[in-house]
Amino acid sequence: MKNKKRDLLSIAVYICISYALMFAFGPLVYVTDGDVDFGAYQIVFVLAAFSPCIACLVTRALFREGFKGLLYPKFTGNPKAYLLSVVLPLAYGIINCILITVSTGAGFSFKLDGGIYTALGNNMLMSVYSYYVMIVIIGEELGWRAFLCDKLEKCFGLNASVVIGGIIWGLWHIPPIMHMGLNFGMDYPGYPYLGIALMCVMCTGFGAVMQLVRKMSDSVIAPIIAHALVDSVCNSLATMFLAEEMITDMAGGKKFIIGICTTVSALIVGIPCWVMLNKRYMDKSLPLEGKVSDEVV
Amino acid sequence: MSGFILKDLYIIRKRLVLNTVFCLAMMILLDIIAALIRKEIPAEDVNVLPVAAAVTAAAFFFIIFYSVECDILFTDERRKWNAYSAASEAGVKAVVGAKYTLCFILSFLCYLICRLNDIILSLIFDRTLQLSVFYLGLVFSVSFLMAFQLFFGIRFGARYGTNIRIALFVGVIVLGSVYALFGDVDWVMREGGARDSMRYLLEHMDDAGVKEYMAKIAGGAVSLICLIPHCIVALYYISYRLSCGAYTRGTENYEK
Repeated sequence: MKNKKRDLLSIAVYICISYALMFAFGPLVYVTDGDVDFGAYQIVFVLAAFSPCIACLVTRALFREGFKGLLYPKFTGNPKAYLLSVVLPLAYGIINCILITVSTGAGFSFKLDGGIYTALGNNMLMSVYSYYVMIVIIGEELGWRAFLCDKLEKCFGLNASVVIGGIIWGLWHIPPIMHMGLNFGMDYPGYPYLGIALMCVMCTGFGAVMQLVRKMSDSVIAPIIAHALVDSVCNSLATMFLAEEMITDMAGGKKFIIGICTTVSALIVGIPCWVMLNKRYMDKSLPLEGKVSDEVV
Repeated sequence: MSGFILKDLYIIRKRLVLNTVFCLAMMILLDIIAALIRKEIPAEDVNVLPVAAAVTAAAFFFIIFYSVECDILFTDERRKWNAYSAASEAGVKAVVGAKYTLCFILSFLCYLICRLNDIILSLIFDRTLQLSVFYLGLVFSVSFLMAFQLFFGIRFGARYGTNIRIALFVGVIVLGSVYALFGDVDWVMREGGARDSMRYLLEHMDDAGVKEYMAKIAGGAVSLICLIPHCIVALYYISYRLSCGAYTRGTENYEK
């Protein structure tokens, strides 16, 4: 019981720090017109984008939990987990691609100027970009997966940790949703509340994927790879079949439709992962009280 | 494996700390010089100055860290120790994997120092300066070199690996010097030549410039360029697997 209180307190401290940093510095970094050419931009960016990582490190230091093995890769014996960390985002990317193409009525043909070579070039460029994104994503995953989800699972159990973790992760995105129209744009009914709600749903779906690869590999590196691929390659895959003017002109709620497709794709990939997560790890991840009562019985 | 990484780190710690401090000192010095000459240079060169400072510092840091990475090969030179470590529960994979992992960690540390330099230069020149793509290119270049050097070092001994590196460097420098002295360097010096191209490159080396350049060139060419980092990652892994296989035979070349 004492441990649970301590864990709940550490979760509260973690959320306060990560949200405070994101809400304070996020509006300066995430702007619509992309005009971020000022000297302190990178410091502000690190404080906002790495806020979950900073919160994790500070909370661990405050509660004397140590930092051992935080970024340890554990490649040996876990090839399936690392394979899934690549395959699952790609599956999401392809589903997303199909949904966007069908819902926008683009049809399956390479519409970018330059045809298949341009489309291939764009995606290859994004695949290289994912190495850089991985470094940025360390800032998120070190907080969400290596700290929050583990703690939530200890306190509330596996399923609740996926849902609560997804909502907390989704709400953390409020500044970019409000200031730069992240994923859903700014031109839709119910802005920004609907976007925030959909973001929470999307993060719950992705959360299940990330938590599955995290638990399978017993390392935070696998979710970092998966997250980086989602943010780079998978999001550009969808543009392969869209006409150039459709990609550049996102006015009239087009971005919102694409955002909904992204949310649905995240759920389509996330739900089977959630089921798999339950099958594999449900017995081992009862909340602290549950474990105690089981032992007593 | 973490134990072997710590062991290697412990052996090279003095050199690593000294080099890191030296790099940080050099970074501060270069940034101070850049800040001081900022007002002295023509207005059209002001945009090039922070990029040039960042590129010079990055090249310098990566060379220094590359030399530290080369030292990792010298941490295990005794045949008896290698026989012991190979027979331990962790096995050959952990011993060899530790060296490859540590090399990557050091390159990453160098990347972080370069990014820190970007932040300082951004503050001095009051503009966003990001050369992360260029730094990643350097990380991949060092990994490419280390993939060969680690394999040759493990298979034939650290000294043999070092000899190959020195021979390569000396060869390149001698050939370059001979060409610079006796060859036709008009293509470098003339207007619109390599010197001007270098200037253009410096002006467009930040992340936005690279993105712009990639958007300009054809899709097929981009695909080929973008394949290089993936190939280096694959090469690094293949080198690791080959080194695991060659470890036991390689230790026969070591001292007793």
